[in-house]
Amino acid sequence: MAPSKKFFNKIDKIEIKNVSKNYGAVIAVNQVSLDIIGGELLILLGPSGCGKTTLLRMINRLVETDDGQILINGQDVKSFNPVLLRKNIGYVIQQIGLFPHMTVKENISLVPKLEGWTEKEMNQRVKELLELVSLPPEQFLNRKPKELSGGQQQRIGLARAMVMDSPLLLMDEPFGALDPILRKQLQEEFIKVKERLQRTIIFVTHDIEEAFRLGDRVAILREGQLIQVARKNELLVNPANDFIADIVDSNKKFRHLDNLTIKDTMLPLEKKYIFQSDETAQSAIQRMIKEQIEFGIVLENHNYKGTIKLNQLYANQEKKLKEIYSQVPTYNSTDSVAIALDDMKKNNNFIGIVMEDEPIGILLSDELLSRLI
Amino acid sequence: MIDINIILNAVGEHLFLAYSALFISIILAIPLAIISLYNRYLASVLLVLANLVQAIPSFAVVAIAVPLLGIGFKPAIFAIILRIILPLFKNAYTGLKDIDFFYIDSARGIGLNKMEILRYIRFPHAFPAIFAGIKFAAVIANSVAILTSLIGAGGLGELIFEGLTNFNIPKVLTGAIPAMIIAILLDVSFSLIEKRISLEN
Amino acid sequence: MILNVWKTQQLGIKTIEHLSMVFIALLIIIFIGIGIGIFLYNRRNLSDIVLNILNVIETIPELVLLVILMPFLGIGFKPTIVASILYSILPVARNTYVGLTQVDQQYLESARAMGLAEKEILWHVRIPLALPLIAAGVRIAIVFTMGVVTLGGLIAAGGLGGPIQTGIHLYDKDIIIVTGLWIGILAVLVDSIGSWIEKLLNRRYGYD
Repeated sequence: MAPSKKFFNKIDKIEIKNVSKNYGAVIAVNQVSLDIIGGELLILLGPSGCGKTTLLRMINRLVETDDGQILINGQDVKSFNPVLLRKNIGYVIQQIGLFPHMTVKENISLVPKLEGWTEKEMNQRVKELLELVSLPPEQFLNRKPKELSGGQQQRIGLARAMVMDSPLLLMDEPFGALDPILRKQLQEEFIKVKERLQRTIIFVTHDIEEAFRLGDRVAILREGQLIQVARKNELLVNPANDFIADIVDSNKKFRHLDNLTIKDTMLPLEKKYIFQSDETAQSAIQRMIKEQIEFGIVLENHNYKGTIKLNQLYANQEKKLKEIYSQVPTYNSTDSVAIALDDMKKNNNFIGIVMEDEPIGILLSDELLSRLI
Repeated sequence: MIDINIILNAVGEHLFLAYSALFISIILAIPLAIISLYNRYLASVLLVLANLVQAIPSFAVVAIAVPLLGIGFKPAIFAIILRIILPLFKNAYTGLKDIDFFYIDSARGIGLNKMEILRYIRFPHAFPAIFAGIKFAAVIANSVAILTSLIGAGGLGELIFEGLTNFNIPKVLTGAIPAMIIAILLDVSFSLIEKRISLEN
Repeated sequence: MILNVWKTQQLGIKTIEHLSMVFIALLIIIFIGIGIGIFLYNRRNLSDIVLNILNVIETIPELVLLVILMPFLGIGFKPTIVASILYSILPVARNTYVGLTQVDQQYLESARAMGLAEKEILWHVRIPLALPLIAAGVRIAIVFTMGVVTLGGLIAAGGLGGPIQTGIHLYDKDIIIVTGLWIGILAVLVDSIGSWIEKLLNRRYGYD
């Protein structure tokens, strides 16, 4: 189902033409021109204050341009009613903004309700979306946002943005506030969702690793100006200037690559990630939500047994962790990063456990680094 | 016609009653707030009481003073104090209490003792809250002092009640209009002082 | 003594009279108060002046407000209800206005981004999120209205103020004590119901 006034079935092209925005004396966006190709995921990358969020918000007219034009499929966004335009474009923000007085279901189906969908249609759609973002619907439909972890809230935020089936999705640092492991988990999930849905997505981030992991192309902004837009490899090989080279950090990483060990790049293992094998899944769920994590390492008498993820715990709440953990690869802390990353990539893992006598850290796959190796 | 002197006299009685009650209440409430800072039990009892008594209509409070103290000035002043002392206490106590622990700690760090912390740190910090409490109490005192005429305390209320018994509306208004003017002047002047205080802080 | 006073002063009937006046006044207060709050939200430039006027009214002694209405409304039920309304509208109107204007930015941001029109944001986001604060305002209004309605007894409005006046006139301590305490208990009871509703709304619509 689509909004009562559907402006686009499919995005062919978005053209940003010489767009500028000033706030008093501050130039937030300065003469930016950029074409977005239908179906791609374009990253807007840059330090905070570079104008990337302003540029994003001009597309659905949460911010109005001072100068220039934005065309979607050849039509000026200013020719649409801004409220209806926004119903046609999905938008996800870092603070998520789930309404605290509504359940998950009510949050996701608010716009459909205003559009007059039937109860049955709404239920069906909400279930589809919850499954899409890997949340079991029966468990989550009637919960309130405050009963959810940050990662779960962000998934609901994504589901809510997709409810009107809009072909264009704007995302403003959606994973920015999350724990690093959780961020990586959600990025992995998001890649799968993205492949299934084939939307056009414009994604703002200041995290270069995230940009390289998710983006088809990356546009780099600084001080309101577009510096370079290119496919990922090209940015590494052919940075337009020193600023870009500095951002992608290529020289520095090349220099160290030979003697980089896993211990140099891993996340040290924090206590919050450790669970005991005789703990029940239910108590692990509660702890994870409290700690805002969705991943844990299971130990039995200090010995590493395996790992758990929040989502798989819900179906097995009565069981002990020793019955449900799963395996991820382990590496020795003195191994070379290059070999480990290569191994993870081949086996489609994004997470590995770093061992000495007992687990001491977590290695996350690094898109940027693995491209350099 | 009504003698202007009668009105002025009534205004005088009214103000004297309301402000003596306010003055006595402040003198009692602030030490009570200070003691409560160091006695958690007393504090919680008084806070619960303050919330309960707040809900009780003034008329009932005034009436209850009669079986206890008879009629006249004494039960009147007692009733007003009963009505305003707890809100005064509550504001003073929360003002003194709700100060960032960081300030207390750094005051201790530079060697201030308990009394000095109270005098130089807590009080200046609590002053706006205490003053807001006084403003609130003054409005209530002004209001209850009209009612207490019913139990023989004199003042502007007496003109109103005499007028009511004879259904003499002009006489009612000779009591009511000055009372209203006093209330508005009171609010305006307190608001001005409040503004100056908040500017200074 | 209690039973005797209860019977001779007909405290049962008076209590019903009393509470129905409070109830009628409150219904009107909630209706008008929330209405003014929403109106001020739409016309923010008027908010200062309107809230200041209501604030001044609230400083006028309850009894004075009551008797000043007499030349226009006579005695009894009418001036009592009108005085209750004038006196209690401020907390409801002010809390509604503040509740509507101070909704956390992230909720407004996501509502706008979803394509909600301003009116839809008002009904589906701002008003529900303002409810706990509005309830707090109504609770204050309940206390004020109880006070004014009690005074209504002095101008022949019925309710529990009447027996107190009788008690004071006759200097009958029994009547004063029983009726006075009963009003006190009733006021505290009604206030606790208000506080319970406020807590419920807070749990349902509060931020955390």
